[in-house]
Amino acid sequence: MDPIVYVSLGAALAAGLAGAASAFGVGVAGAAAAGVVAEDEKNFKNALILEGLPMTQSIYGLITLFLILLSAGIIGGGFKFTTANPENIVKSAILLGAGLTVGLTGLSAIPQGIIASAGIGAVAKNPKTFTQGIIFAAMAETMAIFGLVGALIMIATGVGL
Amino acid sequence: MFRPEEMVKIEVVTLSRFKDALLTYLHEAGVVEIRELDVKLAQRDSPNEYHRKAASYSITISRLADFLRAYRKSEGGGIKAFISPPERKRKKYRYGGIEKLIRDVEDFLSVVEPEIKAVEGKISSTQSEMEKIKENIAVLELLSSLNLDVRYLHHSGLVEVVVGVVERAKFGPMLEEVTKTAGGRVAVASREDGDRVIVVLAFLRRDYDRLNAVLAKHSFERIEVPAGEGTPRELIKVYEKKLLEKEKELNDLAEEARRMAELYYDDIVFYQELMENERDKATVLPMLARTNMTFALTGWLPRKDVPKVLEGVKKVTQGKAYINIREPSKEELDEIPIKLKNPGWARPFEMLTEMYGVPKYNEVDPTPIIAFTYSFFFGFMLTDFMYGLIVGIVAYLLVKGHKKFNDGTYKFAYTLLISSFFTMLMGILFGSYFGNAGDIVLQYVTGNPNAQLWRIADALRDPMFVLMLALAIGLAHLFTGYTIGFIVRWKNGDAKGAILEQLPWMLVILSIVIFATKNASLMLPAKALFGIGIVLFAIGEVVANGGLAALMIISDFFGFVGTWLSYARLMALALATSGIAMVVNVLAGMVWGIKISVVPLGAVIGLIIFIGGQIFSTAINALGAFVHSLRLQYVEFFGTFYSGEGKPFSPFKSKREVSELEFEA
Repeated sequence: MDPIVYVSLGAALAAGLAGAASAFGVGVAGAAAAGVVAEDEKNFKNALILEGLPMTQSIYGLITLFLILLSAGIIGGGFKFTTANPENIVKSAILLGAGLTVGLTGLSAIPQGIIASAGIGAVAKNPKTFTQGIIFAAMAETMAIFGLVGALIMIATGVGL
Repeated sequence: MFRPEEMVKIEVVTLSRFKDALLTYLHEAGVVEIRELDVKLAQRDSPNEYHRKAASYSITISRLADFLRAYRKSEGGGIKAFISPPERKRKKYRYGGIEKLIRDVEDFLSVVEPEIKAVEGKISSTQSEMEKIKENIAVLELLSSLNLDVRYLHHSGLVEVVVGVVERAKFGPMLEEVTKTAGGRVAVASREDGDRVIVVLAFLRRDYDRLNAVLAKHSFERIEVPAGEGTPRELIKVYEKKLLEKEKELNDLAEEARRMAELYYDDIVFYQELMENERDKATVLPMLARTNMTFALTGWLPRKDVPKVLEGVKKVTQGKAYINIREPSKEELDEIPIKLKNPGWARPFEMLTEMYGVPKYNEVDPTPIIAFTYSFFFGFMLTDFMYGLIVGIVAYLLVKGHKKFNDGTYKFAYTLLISSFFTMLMGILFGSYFGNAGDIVLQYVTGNPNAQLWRIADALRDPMFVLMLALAIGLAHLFTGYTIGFIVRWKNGDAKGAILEQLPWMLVILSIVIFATKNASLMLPAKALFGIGIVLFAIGEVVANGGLAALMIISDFFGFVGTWLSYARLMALALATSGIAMVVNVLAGMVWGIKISVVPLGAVIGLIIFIGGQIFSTAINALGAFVHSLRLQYVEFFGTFYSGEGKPFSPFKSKREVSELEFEA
């Protein structure tokens, strides 16, 4: 395959998978948020923050997309891997790997949304559980963070910015 | 610092006639946590008639307050009230015993309650009349297609008139059966209305019972026709006029209610607070022991408050009291309530410790440590001078506005303010000002496309450096935790636990540090330390888990590795911040050059993208930094040594927002 295919796939999968997963997560949490707001409008602020937590994965995906495009020269300058020599193919494959890592670990947004939705229900009953609810939801994000750490290292040391 | 407040136990026996005064004194002082007194010989105390009255009046008054609150003039509100809410005025009340207080409340209620209830009753009856009128109008609108004088739709003399609706499909069969049953002595008028039919039937009164059964069979729904004269359309006008009158009446009543709210609301919340405090005071009565003439109470209080309480109790009881202050015994160790004690700069951070759970009495209070590490980690994860500045300004305003209340907002804003200093510091170290916006400005000013502000390392180009830094910080954090755990356990006589659970990891961490120096001559001692650590750890697992040890050794070892690697989030979130900031800058840069003839449209849109994007980025990254910094404290750091299983100190204390008790013994 041409390097451009690897690079675009990597960028697309990072932002696409993570973004879709975030949408699922926010959707699950948002349904719960709508319910508790109907019970008492005061729950709005807390529910909104919890609902927003599964959004971070899509941001990690977006950052990775930008870094991949930057690293391949698509943003700022010109595409660096126009000739399909082995070195360029290796570098662009690494970018695909980085994108895939963030995309797949970004799937953690779905369970995070489920946890956040339970947290929203708990906060409606007892507002004091707000911070605990956030911490529980943040647990699921750990995997996405590990994915981002891996991808950053792959892009920066494997290809260079 | 590092230790919770020292607690002592107080026991007081005195005459029953001082009970109300003593409880009131302790309630206002708010430094003693009263505990149940278990004396076999004596009876338990219980609330008396006045306490029950206080409870019932507090409900009555809170109902009145709820009603008036809806009619109160709203004050300010909005963002100013959030940043700096006004302090509420406190009204003084001269306390002369619960009997007098109840009498005062009764006097107050006897004036205010009938007045407010009267207005409330009028408002609700007017509202229900308006509802009725609206219903009538709706019925008339339904009937308007019939165009019959409403007078004819009511009974008169021997004729019964029935008005109602029936489903269209049932109308034919119903009419047939009605005509048959009445023997033709029935007059019918009908109009179709959607899938229903509006029907008016007039028949002889003596046929009513038979026809009623027929109508019921066809699910005929009867309509109450409003009283009046003329066609429905004419009558609607009459009712609409009535509705307007009622609305005016309601407005007048609302004005009256507003006047009452202005007049009485402050007094009502004042008495509400007094009654609620009395009710709260009565909750400790079942914990006291009593005889015919005396009563006794016991509880915990901080040692520093002992002189004040001793003096107060003596004064209140005129010296006629047995008071005993004693040290907690070994058996009571789990009973002692925990009040955290920290210097002023660390005190707001107690909130973070309390959220997880307070330490046991013989454990270390980690607040001073997490005051530093929490703020530092927050700063590390945000790492941007300008973001730090924004967070700092918001936090400063909140701290200033809420300091007088010492509430949750103040404490949280204070922790943010300290964190924002670290954020700005880290921002300078890594040369981050709205991400790379600082560099872009510098490049524009100097004309050098490679100009960069000073920094110790470029995080985006050299993430390995940041990762190593994050992991080194993680090791230091974990080492601190294990060391504290080791010292506390050793001091508390659990040497075996200290050596088998904390020491192994301390040795392992030390050996990792020595390995990292890559000094060839130190490799052997490092290997030895690592070996000893692992052996101690394995022994600890065998002692703790017996046969399962083989499995636990593997899982716990990788648990430690996972805990350590978890600090990599410091790097990931720091880079995520500069990444998002850079994305915003790139987007703004893309549209910057667009011009329509001479109008710099691109610059305007670019500025909007830049400001909006950076504010969004500040908010989302600050939330991430808060959550993950807290997580590193709770999960990784506390996991090394902290139980958080202490019982928090909850003193017997009054709540005073709008009232103040003048109280003399």
